[in-house]
Amino acid sequence: MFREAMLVMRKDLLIERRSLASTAHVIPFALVMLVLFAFALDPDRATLDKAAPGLFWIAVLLSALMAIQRSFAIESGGSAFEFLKMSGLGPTAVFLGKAAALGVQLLVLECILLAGVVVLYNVDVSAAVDMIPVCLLTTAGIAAVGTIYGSFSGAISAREALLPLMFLPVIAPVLLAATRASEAAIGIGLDYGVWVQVLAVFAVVYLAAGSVAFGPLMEDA
Amino acid sequence: MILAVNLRSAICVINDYPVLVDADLAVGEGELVAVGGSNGAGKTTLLRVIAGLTSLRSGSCEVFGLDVGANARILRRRFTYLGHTPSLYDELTLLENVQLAAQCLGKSVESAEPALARVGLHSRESRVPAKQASSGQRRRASLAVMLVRDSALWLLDEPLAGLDSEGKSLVVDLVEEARSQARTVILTTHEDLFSGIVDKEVEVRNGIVEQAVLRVS
Repeated sequence: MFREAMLVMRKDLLIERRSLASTAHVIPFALVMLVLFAFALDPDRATLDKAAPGLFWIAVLLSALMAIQRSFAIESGGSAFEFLKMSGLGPTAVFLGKAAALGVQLLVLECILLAGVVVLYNVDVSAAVDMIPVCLLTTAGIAAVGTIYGSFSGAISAREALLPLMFLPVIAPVLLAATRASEAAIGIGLDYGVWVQVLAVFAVVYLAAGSVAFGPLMEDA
Repeated sequence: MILAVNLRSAICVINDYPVLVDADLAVGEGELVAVGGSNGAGKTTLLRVIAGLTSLRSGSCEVFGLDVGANARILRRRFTYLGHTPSLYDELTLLENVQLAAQCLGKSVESAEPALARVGLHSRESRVPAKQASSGQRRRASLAVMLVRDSALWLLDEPLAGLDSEGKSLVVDLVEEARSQARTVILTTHEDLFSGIVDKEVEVRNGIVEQAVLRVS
């Protein structure tokens, strides 16, 4: 299964590298969002400092929506999803491979956005180490849910409109935990360990749910 | 005779429209079956049902003695379905697509280049991204995918579509070769190029499958 998942991940990342969809669309979109948040809250620096973790994760989540849509758009072009269905690969391996590829893209995005937050919102750089587990676990949760709903929405004609409606409510607890953990990491919140554990639980639950549910979803897509 | 495909009393409904009506089809291992019928008659649906890509409202479909719905993943490692539209990743080259198909089944990537050469796509053409390839080249690449998969059952939906006369001869050669290797081939076609070599002709009319045995294997 690991070999098959790696195959799917490498395929998705190679396609992403060739198409440069993230570089051309998702990253600029995320950076523009950060700048707009900064403009909106700039008169009140104290509010901006406090809101920085939440704004960071909102920017990640909204950008993730674009990345998820892209991840499944590459499967629908030229009926390529049929290639995957007929390939003989296990659905769990396909799920884990696609989630891993999405996760890698999101981690790259988060690194760029973190740099943006440090520059625009004047956040303490020394928090970077504590942000690593937060980013890894939150990314795992977002990638798992995104892959589940991405495949699900692939079967629906109005997927661009429906994906956010399905994805955002489910991911809201992760957003909350990620924001609290990030606040604690930069010293404006408490209970860093507790929130990191909450993120770990969500990541495990969503990855397990996706591993089980992806087979039927893939068949219907 | 051992059956490769056994479709019994199959009813398939898509968007409230009955596409297959009480369809029966028995195909023995090593048989070559041509499915004809007018556009929209249900030929593609028949193949997709056998491939497990379209589910039945009632009836059953067994491939190599296993129910398709319950054993789709196992069975898909044993057959190749070539659809109307070649299933390729646009951003990958034709070579990479064929290599990926080989890797998915745990086969060596080395098998891709000979397969592409066999279908007339040599080194330079095979390194073209699928999105830049012509429809004929894409069709040839999907034939190469079929070759590297080395399956016991081929399901070919209009395999001659989009091919020039040389490409059509190639498909006929591949199908004849498959028959000599005791592979089972079920193909849909509007052309007569296979008429001399098929074991059985099947006509689909408004979802009803009518069969005529041409040759006793």
